[in-house]
Amino acid sequence: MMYRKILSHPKLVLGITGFITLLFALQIPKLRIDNDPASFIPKDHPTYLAKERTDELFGEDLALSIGLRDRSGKFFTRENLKILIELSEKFKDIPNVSDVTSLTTTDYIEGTAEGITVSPLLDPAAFEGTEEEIERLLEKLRSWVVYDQALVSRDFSAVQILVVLERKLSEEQREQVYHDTLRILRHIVGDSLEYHVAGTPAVTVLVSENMRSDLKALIPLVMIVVILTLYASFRRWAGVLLPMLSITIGTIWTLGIMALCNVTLSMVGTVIPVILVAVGSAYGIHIVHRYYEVERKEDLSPETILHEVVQDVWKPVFLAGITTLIGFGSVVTSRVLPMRDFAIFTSLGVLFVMANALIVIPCILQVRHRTLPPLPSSSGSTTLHILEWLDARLFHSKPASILLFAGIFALSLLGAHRLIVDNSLIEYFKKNTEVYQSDVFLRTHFAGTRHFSVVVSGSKKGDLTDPRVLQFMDGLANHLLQKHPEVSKVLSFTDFIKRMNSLLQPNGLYEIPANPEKYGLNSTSDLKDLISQYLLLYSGNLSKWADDALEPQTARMMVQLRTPNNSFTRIVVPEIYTYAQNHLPEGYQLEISGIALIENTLVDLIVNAQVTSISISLALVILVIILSYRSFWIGLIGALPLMTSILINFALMGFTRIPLDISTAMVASVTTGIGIDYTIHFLSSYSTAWKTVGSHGDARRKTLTTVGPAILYNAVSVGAGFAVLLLSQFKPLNYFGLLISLTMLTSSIGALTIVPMALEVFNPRFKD
Amino acid sequence: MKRSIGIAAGLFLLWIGSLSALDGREIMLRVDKRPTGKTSHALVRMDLVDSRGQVNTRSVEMFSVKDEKDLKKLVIVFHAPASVKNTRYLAVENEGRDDDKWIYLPALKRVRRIAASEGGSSFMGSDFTYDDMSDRDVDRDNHKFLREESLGSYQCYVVESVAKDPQDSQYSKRISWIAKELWIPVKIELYDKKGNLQKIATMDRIDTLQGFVTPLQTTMKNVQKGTATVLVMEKFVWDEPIPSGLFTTRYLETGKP
Repeated sequence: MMYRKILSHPKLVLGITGFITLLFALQIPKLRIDNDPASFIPKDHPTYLAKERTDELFGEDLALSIGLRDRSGKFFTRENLKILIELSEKFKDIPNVSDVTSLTTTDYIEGTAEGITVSPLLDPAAFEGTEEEIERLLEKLRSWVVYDQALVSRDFSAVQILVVLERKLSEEQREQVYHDTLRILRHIVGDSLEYHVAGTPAVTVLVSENMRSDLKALIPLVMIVVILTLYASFRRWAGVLLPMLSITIGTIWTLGIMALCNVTLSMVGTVIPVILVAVGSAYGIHIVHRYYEVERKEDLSPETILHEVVQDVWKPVFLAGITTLIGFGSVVTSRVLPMRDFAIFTSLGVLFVMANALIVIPCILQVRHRTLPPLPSSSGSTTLHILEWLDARLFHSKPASILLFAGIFALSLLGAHRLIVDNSLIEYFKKNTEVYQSDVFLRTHFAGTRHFSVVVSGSKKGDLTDPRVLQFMDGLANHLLQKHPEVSKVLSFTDFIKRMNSLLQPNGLYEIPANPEKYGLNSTSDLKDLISQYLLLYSGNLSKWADDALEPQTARMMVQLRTPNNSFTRIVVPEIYTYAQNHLPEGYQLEISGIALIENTLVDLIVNAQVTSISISLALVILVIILSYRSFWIGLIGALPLMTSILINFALMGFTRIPLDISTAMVASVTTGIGIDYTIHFLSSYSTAWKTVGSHGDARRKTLTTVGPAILYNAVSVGAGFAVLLLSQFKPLNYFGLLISLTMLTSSIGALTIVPMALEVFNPRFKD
Repeated sequence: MKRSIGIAAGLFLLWIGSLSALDGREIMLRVDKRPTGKTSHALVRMDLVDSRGQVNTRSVEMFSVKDEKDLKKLVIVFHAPASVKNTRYLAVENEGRDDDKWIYLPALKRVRRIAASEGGSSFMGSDFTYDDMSDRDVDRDNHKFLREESLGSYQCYVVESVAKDPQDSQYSKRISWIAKELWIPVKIELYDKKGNLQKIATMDRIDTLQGFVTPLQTTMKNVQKGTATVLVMEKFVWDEPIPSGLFTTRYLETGKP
């Protein structure tokens, strides 16, 4: 047998393992972090392609939003405006910044008796800071609605600066821009002003930074927790070190391969090492535990002990590993890239940890064999009492307990029905964090940091100068603003045409010229020419809004949102399409795109992934039990505790409004992968007992007293490992840790209660 | 001893070198003073090539005249696309103050005065800005002669120009390849405010018309955006008698000089 052959060359095996581990360890520093939602969804997804098309035409609008507010409530003073000028100048010089939008970089167009004058709203070169200048500036800002809540807050206590990033920057480059921006702010802004930096780039950068500090803090912590539980179990350092060694090697290999495959680590990826430590310890424990047992029992040579241990242990360890692999691996069906990577690499990690437990631990035990002092007696007596009590209660009155489970089931369905789905990056952060507060600031004083584009296209050049389609765009904007308080602002191509119309026409109306007679023209075609001629006056400065300077075929409007979550986009997007169906003139098309939509798509993909991965993992796990026991019923019964745990999990999420997001969506599959071990453990012991005692009642009592404490103990230690995630800086990871700890408890208790109860009720036969 | 001879020789060579080097400003002055006609009349086609290679064509007619003080008057009549046909633009250069600018929009049927520092903005959505299309006073920049170099069939002086007042230019610097003898730039690299190469202008066709060296086709390539604009003189005449009434707002409104 191959396996035994490997074990007969322990030194060689250890040498090779050490070498491979070193090679992988050297790769780990190359691991990249990426938390941009746009890189979470597949590159061929329609939403991604739509965003690419819009970015291609109008430029990407990924920007840092900086809010500057005077604590006294009055921003427009000479000193503050000088600061604003200096900031705008400095921001322009930051590498990889394509544009800066502020009072100093925005043109103001005004009508004069003879024509029009274009000048900067605030001319940095000419600004002296006199009362008149400031009064004049305020007047300009009030004169055009476009500035409101974009450059200046409604109460004039704050101004906004947008620092627009170049397209296709790497995470490192974005971090650089973010830090340069902060450095400049710290350097220039005095105490009288408060500043807030938000926007998608800020949020992704902070997610990545917090992730790094999370990784640094959480991995040692989870190791300490697991070491403590191991030590409590073995009271011996060998029992602690050997499982830890197999985990460490497995984790290094996994991260090394991720780096080699150029896989980027996202927030969800932080969990990979934590999971491997929490889950992987079981395999090593199993082997070391058995080793001590065999060693204590008889006076044997190291080779013989190992031989026996390996014989006994490889099958259950392998089975536990495979089912865990199935659970984690089922997430691979997800089209959300970080979830898919998570599935691939945790599965791989589990495989590595398991292989190392099966190979490295026996090799070390062989090389460093010493007769060890006897193992202290197991401290399972309290647990045992609890189990006996539980058993007596639960099985005292069957109808009552069935009623209890039915009650739990019904309540869970009710809670699961209230489940909300959301995956908004800003909601990863706790409410007291600076970035969350900044986002709130920009949402309350300005139009907010979340937006999407509505792109309208005609079939030929110049179609977007047709007053009918421009009126449609205006109508849509008004409709959205009137109907939804969540829509804070709509900026549109049409705003610029209306402005020109009001400045150049004798009637001075801020409207789309749509009636030829009113404008002394003969036809709509003349009006189109008029609009083209307005555009000529903008001399190509509208490239963010229209695809051509004179005869656009495509134009855009930007809908800005006050809400931080995705649920609103789910309502408003279909509504816009319906509105378009009823009002968009013949021959035009409408497309919606943007980062808000990408987050929305992410939610859809998460839900789809959830349904598929739960189905697949449950089905495969049932199949594994069916194959092991050659009984269909036992397979189904074995899945009952998992289904109950998953249901309770969703119920809790529903009742406590924990959203289903990119990380909590993996709870069900992770539960299946780990929780099934308890059932398998229970079933294997139960089937042996059943065959010897013959009755369900006796088999149940015997199993509960023998493996019951072990199962609970294992669940508690895995749960404790995951509970470390409660210390993470991210809410989704806190939730993930909390929920997994919970499902470990429910699935282990379920294995000890639901399974024997169902076995008694359905009475399937255990075959030989 | 040997070393000090070496140093002396080096210094001598440096001295010789500085003697023969042409001053950057002198070169640019010669470019500026290159003889041209008093008036010009051109039919200009502009092909705007976007980043996907699609071409959009615009065409304008340009008239210009220079007075004794070398101050310029310019009229642009837009021909295509049809939606802006007969839009007319007049710019009059003033000594010591901003240019006067007027535009006539046919659909508006009125002449409006435009007061704008639009120099840095695009001309009709092309890769040329208004500034790119107008002459720039030599002494607004510091010029540095870099080297001599051959470019295609031309022997060139390479000169770097940086605005004396950084606010006075949309570029951080320009590097020009000036063809010897012709005293005309054959290539100009334009660098954005951050010092990155933004655009490259190349004079693809240079001809001698009526005895004056004249660029007849120029390509402006925006290397950052991947777009380009080709400016072709479909017709070019120096010293055509142009009625002075053409450079008036009355002409803008009526189309008659």
